[in-house]
Amino acid sequence: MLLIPLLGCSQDRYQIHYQKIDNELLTYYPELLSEIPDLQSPALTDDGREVVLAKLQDSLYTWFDATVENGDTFDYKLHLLGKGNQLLADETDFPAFARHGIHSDWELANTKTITGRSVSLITVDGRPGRSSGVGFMTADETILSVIAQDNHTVKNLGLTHPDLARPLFHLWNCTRTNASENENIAAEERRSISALVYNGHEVAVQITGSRGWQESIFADEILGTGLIEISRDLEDEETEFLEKQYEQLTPEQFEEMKEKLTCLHTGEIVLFYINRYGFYEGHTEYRADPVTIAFVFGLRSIKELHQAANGNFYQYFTSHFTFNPE
Amino acid sequence: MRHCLTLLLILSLTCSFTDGSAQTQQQEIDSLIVLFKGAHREWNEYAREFIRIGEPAVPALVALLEDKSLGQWTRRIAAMTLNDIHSDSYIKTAMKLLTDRSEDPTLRNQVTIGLKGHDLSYASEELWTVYNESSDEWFRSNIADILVTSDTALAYRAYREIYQANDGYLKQQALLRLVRLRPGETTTWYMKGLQTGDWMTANLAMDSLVTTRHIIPEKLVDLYNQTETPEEVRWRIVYIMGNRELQESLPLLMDALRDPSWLVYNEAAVGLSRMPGDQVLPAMKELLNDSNPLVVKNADWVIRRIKDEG
Repeated sequence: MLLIPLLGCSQDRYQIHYQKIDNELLTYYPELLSEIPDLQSPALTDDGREVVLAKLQDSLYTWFDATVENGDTFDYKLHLLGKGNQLLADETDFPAFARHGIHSDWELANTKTITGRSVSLITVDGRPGRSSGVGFMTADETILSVIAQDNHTVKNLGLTHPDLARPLFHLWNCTRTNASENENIAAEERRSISALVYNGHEVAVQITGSRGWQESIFADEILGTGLIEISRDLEDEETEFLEKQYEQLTPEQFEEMKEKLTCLHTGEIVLFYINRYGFYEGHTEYRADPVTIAFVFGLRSIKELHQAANGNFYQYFTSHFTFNPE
Repeated sequence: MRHCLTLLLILSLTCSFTDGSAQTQQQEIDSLIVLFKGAHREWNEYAREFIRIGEPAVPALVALLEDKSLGQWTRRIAAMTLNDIHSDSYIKTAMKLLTDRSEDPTLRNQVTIGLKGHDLSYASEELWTVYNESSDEWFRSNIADILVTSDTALAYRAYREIYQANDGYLKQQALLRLVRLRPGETTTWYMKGLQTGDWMTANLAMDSLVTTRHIIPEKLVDLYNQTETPEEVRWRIVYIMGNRELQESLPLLMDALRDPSWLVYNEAAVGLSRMPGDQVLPAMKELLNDSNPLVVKNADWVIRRIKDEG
């Protein structure tokens, strides 16, 4: 009887199940393809690299090595734009999370400090108008209420936090490579990524920079400056499902729910937060909701997502997380 | 006699060397002034040379600053350079410019930097008039900085006004100056800071109360116990007391474990875990029998944390 939960706990935090693909079949940027190749994306090459197919301007396609890994220093202050610590998890504060990619309820209920800062201090700093204008959480949320509720949702999805951070890092790594390759080619040949082909979906992306940077509320090395906008259109059967399930919503409520399910508006700081702490931000402008990530990147079907959101997307997306784990 | 001749010869050589050296330096200053008049972004390179030369460069720079026929940019970079040299012989010109209402406001503000740190007690009333005439809070703050070394009572009045009228950087600077002017009022002023809606000022006050020698803990305890004290202020007080080993810390943190606020009782538990185990553990063990399960849970957490780190 005890074997079932134990097996669940023994999973590898960074296990990947992508289809293997012959590296010789791939064309990497700045080489371009005029037609979409009939290959799975994301995929793993023979030598274990994670590759993702991207759509560029003028409906051209190309592959990027988007492997999620720890790389050179990523620090805007020092103008160092390496990959940073993409695989690092906070093992000191969350040993179970670091091992399994999901928080244990006991661990969260007994957390009073993260990176040596009290959870109260992180919460006060993370509220709107403090270390960030829009905040890392709303005034009625706490760092632990947000982490705990999202952990619950991710568990319901049958995923781990690294599973959800991975597609975002794929996008981030593709755009990094795209930008650095563009520096070496003639201006007229430069193209930027307009979408990723991901699990059979076309995921529209746009990344823009901003002046200055945002410091991390965890007092770690993570900094943010970019604005990441990601979206995917609903398939016909998904629209049909939502219309059937949410007949009672007003058109405005329906649009609000649809927007929250299909669009992500976040920053790169959150990518690192998800993998390192399981933190997606509270209900602010920059929240990267785990249900939305799973929808946009096709990690789960709409029915599975609906179930994980307690059978009510509207309530799920619009309610703040105010319940603290104790 | 022979010794006297040798001495005369040495003196004569030294004087001619000094004259030559001064002449060379004046030529260097003159060349730099010419460059300075036509300088754009590279002005800082010439400014560095003026600063290296120091006092001998002041008269030429002052002449530049006083020359109203020159563009404002040239006069501003002259002022910035003179500010850095910080010579007594610049004071008269700087004061004249500061009190000349017909001058460019930016230039008037610029010279305040060079006047800071000088004793201008003879002009304190005039400075106070200039302070009161202006509605530019940055300019007023700079005048208050000059008053610190000229008239501390007026400086205190000015900073008090600036503290009340502003948020952000100016409020923080005013708070630091108020406390420096009257160390005896440290706790009172920082307590005001804790209660302000300005997050950065409240953080500054909180961090300062963690480190200052001039703390009166009873005042903090009293503020904590007042029924109308908001949650975040109570949290800040608990944070301060939890980061200092004061006689009042342990009882306050024990009380705070029963505070209804999540922010407060969690901070109290963290603070207690930093206190000496021999004082905290007996008290926590007693709390294990408390009727409030949350108090029991937090006492248990403190015990485990102290033992883990012990």
